Amino acid sequence: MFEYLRVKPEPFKVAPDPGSISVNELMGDFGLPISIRTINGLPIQAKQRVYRLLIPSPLLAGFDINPVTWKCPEGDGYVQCKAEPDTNTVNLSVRESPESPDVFFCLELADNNFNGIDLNLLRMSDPATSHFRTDFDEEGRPTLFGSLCRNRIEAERAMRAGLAPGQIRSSLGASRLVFQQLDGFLAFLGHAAVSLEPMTYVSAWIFERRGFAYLRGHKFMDDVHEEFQPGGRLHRALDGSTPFRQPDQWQTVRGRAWAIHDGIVSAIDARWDGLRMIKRVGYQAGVNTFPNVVY
Amino acid sequence: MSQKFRITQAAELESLARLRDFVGQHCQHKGIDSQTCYAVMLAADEACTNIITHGYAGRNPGSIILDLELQSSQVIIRITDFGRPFEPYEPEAPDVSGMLAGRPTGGFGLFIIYKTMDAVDYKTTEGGEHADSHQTPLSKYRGHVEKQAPKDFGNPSGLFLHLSLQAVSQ
Repeated sequence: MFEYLRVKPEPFKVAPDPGSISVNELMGDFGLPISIRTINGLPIQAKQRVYRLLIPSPLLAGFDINPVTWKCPEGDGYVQCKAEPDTNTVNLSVRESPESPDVFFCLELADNNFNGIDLNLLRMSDPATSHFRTDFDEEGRPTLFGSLCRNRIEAERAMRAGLAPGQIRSSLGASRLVFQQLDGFLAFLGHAAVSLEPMTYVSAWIFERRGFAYLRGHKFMDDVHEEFQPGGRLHRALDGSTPFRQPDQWQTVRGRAWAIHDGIVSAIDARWDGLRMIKRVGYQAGVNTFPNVVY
Repeated sequence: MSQKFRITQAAELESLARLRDFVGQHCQHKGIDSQTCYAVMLAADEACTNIITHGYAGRNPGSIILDLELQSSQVIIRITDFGRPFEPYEPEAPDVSGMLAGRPTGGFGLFIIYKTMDAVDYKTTEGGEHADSHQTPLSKYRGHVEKQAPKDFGNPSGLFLHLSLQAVSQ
């Protein structure tokens, strides 16, 4: 039946063992994926050189922070890089000033169990805007951005101020810039993709626009869109029973997100859980589960 | 000069009609002959069905990305998914003899794909279900162009190239 049939096994490339890595090793195999753990094993100056690639220069320059030295004109360092040897995580955080308790940019990457990279956390907030204490409950316990528990009073204030669930301030509006930068960083390391778990409906929507596809949950997102249409079960569940379930909320990404944060998807016997997204370096997946969108 | 088009859908059976129509409409609009157009639609439909029913079986379905490339001499489809890899194998011709009632259902998908397309490839990553990315490129020469050896589709979009299977039907 076949003129030509060939099984062609290719060598399976794995990241080198943690520890030091020479420039020769780095350059020896162009396609070799380098793990975060390996980078963390480099001398501090070397790893900072590598991780400098992760923060968009215009973002730092906009806050008068030198993108090369990570310092302000007065000489203080405002960028913190946590990348300890023998760990598989890097966490970069930037403050407007060393005394400021608020981090306006925070990005955390980690090696995953499958020789790939996960984006564990990306937070960007405009420090010039009002702060809402949605990150702590009424008794001062961390809410983990509303994923563990909620501060309903602050959440309602944040919603009325136009914020999305999980936000403590308005966004910096720099996600396009950050994901372009991240694409370049992953290509530099030899990785072809990054995966993540969207914490909220808004973040899933943003990640779709930044080129992510779904490993799990595409159908769920389609179902959510469908059920928010007039006549759908989620549309009916917007019954005004809480401040987060007002009838007109189906029309906007944020409105839906607050209702979902309030647990409305139980009306379709579902939970906001287990969604997983992936972005292939250089590719836009073109997912759009909320067509004709109003943010 | 080639033209490229892309559609991304949830990997569920309800998406098949949209994927099939996407291929058909672009092929027709760009003047691909009806025989080639039909063959490509059929193969795309079967490949996507395989991915949806096997790759994403029992899980919350993720995305399926269909890239259509129209070249002057051939039509190429690349289907990317993130489900479980399915084992590519040389399909045997299904048994169509005897009574309909006694025959097993299914088993035609790969056979149809290999029969209708000029080159079929399958590339997958290794490393667990969460990191998998698989590409199924299919190509069909337009009109009555003499068939050639399968082209090299290049590196996959997956994290690591694990296995490549190429075949051309007679």
